[in-house]
Amino acid sequence: MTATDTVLQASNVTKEYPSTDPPTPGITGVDLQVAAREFLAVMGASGSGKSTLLQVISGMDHPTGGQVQISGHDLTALGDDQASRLRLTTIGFVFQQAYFLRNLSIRDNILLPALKATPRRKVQVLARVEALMARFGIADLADRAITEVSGGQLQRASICRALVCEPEIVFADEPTGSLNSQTTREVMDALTEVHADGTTLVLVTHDPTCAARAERVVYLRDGRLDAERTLGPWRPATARDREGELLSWLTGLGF
Amino acid sequence: MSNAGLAVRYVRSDLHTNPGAHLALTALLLLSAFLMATGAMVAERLVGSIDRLFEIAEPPDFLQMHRGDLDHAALDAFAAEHPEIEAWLIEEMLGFDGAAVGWQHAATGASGDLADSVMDNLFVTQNQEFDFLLDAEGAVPQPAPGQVYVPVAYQQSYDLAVGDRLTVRTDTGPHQLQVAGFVRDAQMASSMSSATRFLVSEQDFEDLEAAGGGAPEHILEYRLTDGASAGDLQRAYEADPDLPKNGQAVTIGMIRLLNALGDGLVAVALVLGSLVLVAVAVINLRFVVRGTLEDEVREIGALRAIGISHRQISALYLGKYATLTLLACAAGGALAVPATAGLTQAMQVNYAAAPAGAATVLVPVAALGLLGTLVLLLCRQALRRVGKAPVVGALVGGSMLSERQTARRARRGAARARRHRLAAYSGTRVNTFLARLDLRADLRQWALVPVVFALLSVLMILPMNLLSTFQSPRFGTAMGAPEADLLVDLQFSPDLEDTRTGLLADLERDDRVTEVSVLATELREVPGEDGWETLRVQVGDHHDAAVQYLHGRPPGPGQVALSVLNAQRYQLAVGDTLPVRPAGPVSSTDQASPAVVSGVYQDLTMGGYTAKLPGEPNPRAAGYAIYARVTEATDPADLAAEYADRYPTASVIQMAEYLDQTMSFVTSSFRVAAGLALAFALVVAALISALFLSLQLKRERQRMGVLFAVGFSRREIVTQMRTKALAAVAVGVLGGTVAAAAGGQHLVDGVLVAAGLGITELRLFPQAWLVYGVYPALLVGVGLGVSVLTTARIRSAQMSRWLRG
Ligand SMILES: Nc1ncnc2c1ncn2[C@@H]1O[C@H](COP(=O)(O)OP(=O)(O)OP(=O)(O)O)[C@@H](O)[C@H]1O
Ligand SMILES: [Mg+2]
Repeated sequence: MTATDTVLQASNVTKEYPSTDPPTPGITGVDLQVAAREFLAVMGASGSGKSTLLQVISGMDHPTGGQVQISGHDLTALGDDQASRLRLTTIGFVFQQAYFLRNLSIRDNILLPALKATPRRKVQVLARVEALMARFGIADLADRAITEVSGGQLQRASICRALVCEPEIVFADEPTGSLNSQTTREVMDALTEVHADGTTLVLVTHDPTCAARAERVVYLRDGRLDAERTLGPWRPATARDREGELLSWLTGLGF
Repeated sequence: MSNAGLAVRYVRSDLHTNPGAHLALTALLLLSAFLMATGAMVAERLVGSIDRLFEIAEPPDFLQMHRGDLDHAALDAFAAEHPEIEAWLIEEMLGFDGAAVGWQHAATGASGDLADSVMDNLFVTQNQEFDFLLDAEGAVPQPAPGQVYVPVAYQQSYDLAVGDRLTVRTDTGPHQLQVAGFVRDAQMASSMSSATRFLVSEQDFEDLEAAGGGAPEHILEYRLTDGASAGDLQRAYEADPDLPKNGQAVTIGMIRLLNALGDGLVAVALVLGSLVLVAVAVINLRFVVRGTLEDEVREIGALRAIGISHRQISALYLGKYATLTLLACAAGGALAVPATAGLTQAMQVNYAAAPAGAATVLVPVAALGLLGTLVLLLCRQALRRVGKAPVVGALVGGSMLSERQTARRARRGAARARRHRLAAYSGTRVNTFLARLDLRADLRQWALVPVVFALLSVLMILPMNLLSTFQSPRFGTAMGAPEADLLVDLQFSPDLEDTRTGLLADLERDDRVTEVSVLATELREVPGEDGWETLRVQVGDHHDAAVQYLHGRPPGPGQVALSVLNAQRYQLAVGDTLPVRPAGPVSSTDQASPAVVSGVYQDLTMGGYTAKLPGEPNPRAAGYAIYARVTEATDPADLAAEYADRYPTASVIQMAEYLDQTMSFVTSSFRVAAGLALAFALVVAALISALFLSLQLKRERQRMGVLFAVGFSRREIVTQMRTKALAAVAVGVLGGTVAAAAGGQHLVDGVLVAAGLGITELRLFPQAWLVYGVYPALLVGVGLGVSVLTTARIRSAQMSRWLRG
């Protein structure tokens, strides 16, 4: 794997939360590489540091130590403006709770980052927003307020927003954490499509069924990378087998 | 452990773990308590001080000043005829020109004289019956030979102390006196009084009289069984042709009015000011209490989840806020004591220190009680809302809204989202769009800022406008004094006519003088309730004097203009007719000629009861006022000094100086009031915007987290917040300034009418660049500065945490 193929490169990353006494170690000495167009799942027990890892490698948070590079940019060295530009154009986020601006409609929430990135190309940007919403099945909800749609629909809107600036990498932290099994499948189908389109995807999840869609799974224990397993490309036909394989691996790790 | 015990421990630890919000809340409570108590105490002290001074000094209900001989028989007869006179006396006085009274500091050796004072300096002995001059302790001092008690006004302006020397220059050499103390004068305490009294021993008085150089004057003073009938006595007095009338006549009502105008106005302003600030504090408390409760709603949910009833929770929180309120009220009340002492110091110097009575304690305590009750009612209302919130909603969403409220809010949000569409936004500045949208959406919260800043603008601007009004030369013209550079006052001296002709000729010849006009003070008679009454009139050409008329215009032939007080006294309006005849025994009804009232003006000079008639000044007038204007290049002060030297019996002063000194009492009080209002407004603005913005920042955490995640920089998020703050502040300041500019006049008029001070109109002369330029800029600056400081923490915030709210 050459350097250009690597979208994300984290070396010896540590994050401590100084607000507690003694400081809580979030993650400790994590090394992680994510290749372009890869689909990586991060698993681990509750409190093992999954969210912390995701926040640090995605630029939402600064690490206490170590280095993070995304598309060749050293996150720890970027200024406020450059970092925000990177989040805007190169990175997409999907969170467990679908965080939206409550004063904007679904369409406007999706439109916002795109319009900010290219304010003078509104016509093209709007067309892309409509296309995305149509593709993820929420076109008829465009003018609704965020309080007027279901959790699964909101999460699909989140995916649209994450994709609207055509990012290189999308980070998702338990995007299905508060959804039922039916909507979980819909959202996972959507994310799988995103990956199939060539977007690099890092997914934090509790759910082995979701993780089974990934090409590679890493396992966190007490803030450290404990194990890793490569599953290869996902196909609906082999879904059951992969799940079983992943489950027995996880059971072996004490999950 | 019982549930209640657990809750107590929870609330106690909560005070420890959440000190910031509680500290801010306590600070705000403290400030309100402080203001409320100070306002109440100052008002109580002022009323008490004036009453106290009047009570121990026993000023006359009616007095008549007189220069010249007295007809003692007529005076005795008058007193005998009027049983309502309880006591009366003739006070002998010696008037000395300010330049004839020198002083020397014992401590520094510095010396000077009172030449720059426009007051008449009258030397008197202590009265035995009533109308006492009081020392600092409120006692009635009896100076020993060689001692003098100096008016408190001079103590302040010349920095005099006990032990300093006072030298009176008489015709036969200097007369030395030592300052033994300072006296307050109920009769002449007011700023509007043009005379002031020095207290000496009988022996010094006789020596001064014998030495010559002083102008003998008398005050005929009457105390009545019923002070309210002073007006009737005055009319009866003036109707009697044999009684001495060569000077000003004053009633107790006028004395009180003048006192009230000086210090009463300041007290009214102070009380109004503290009310505005308390209003600001209460508006803000509502916001803060709700804000902190919203913050704690999860904890409240947790308490309820473990089975503690809403009543118990309410009681606990009320207990917490009651404790904070009590502490704040106690501290605020304690701080108010020294503040009141400082504020009332000037007042206490001029009036007597009122003894502390029940009201001294009860008034501020009642004010604080009122504040405390208000705060607790607010808390209870807010807690009731929390009580209605579903436990699950509180625990999970941290929301204290009921399901119905949540649904309603959602509907409103939806309507808004459809109305303000980013997709339809034609501009390219996404940040501006978002800031505007938020302001509109959270209008209910943000409205606090403009409301508070508008109130504070008014609070800052109005006292300053009053101050600049009192300092404005145009104020003089609105109060009866013509616009001029130089004022020559010629009164009741034997060589009056020679002085007048000489002075006028000199002035006309002087090429530094551009315009000269003369008004003669003459006596006329007009029909009153009990027959003909004396009316003091100024005769001359009134057209070139820029006196402002409330109604109508200056008098032409066959016309008369009246001061407001005279118009009220004779119940006349513009267009009405008043028969006027010359004063004196020779006149009869036949000689009365009807004069049509051409105009009504406000007058604070000569006791307020004046009239203006057109015509040539009568050569046998009682006195003259000569007004002169000088060329650009001439300093009126120099000219005044020069003419004062040349004509020692004339009082020649610079008009600006005259107005300045006449109003100095009011202006110095208002300078303090305006300064205080400015300082308070700025401090309160800073405090409240800091409180508001930190709470609002908390509320908007999630929103800022979202913006950060989708690619907004910290700088942009900070800018959005500052833009909102600045817009809210600017709207408030603009609104307040416009309101003060447009409505301030009405407010002042309303307060004046309500206060019954006898001034019906006070046209404001604002210093526009200051109050409509610098002041708003200061307020906006404070708002901006605070928003910069409070939003600075966004730069280092952990956004992933904020995202979770
Ligand atoms: N802002 C914070 N301040 C202090 N400690 C924190 C903070 N965020 C997380 N932690 C702590 O860091 C550790 C890792 O937390 P993290 O949220 O990353 O775990 P997680 O694997 O995402 O857990 P979960 O599966 O419950 O989401 C935990 O011990 C947690 O308590
Ligand atoms: Mg997590």
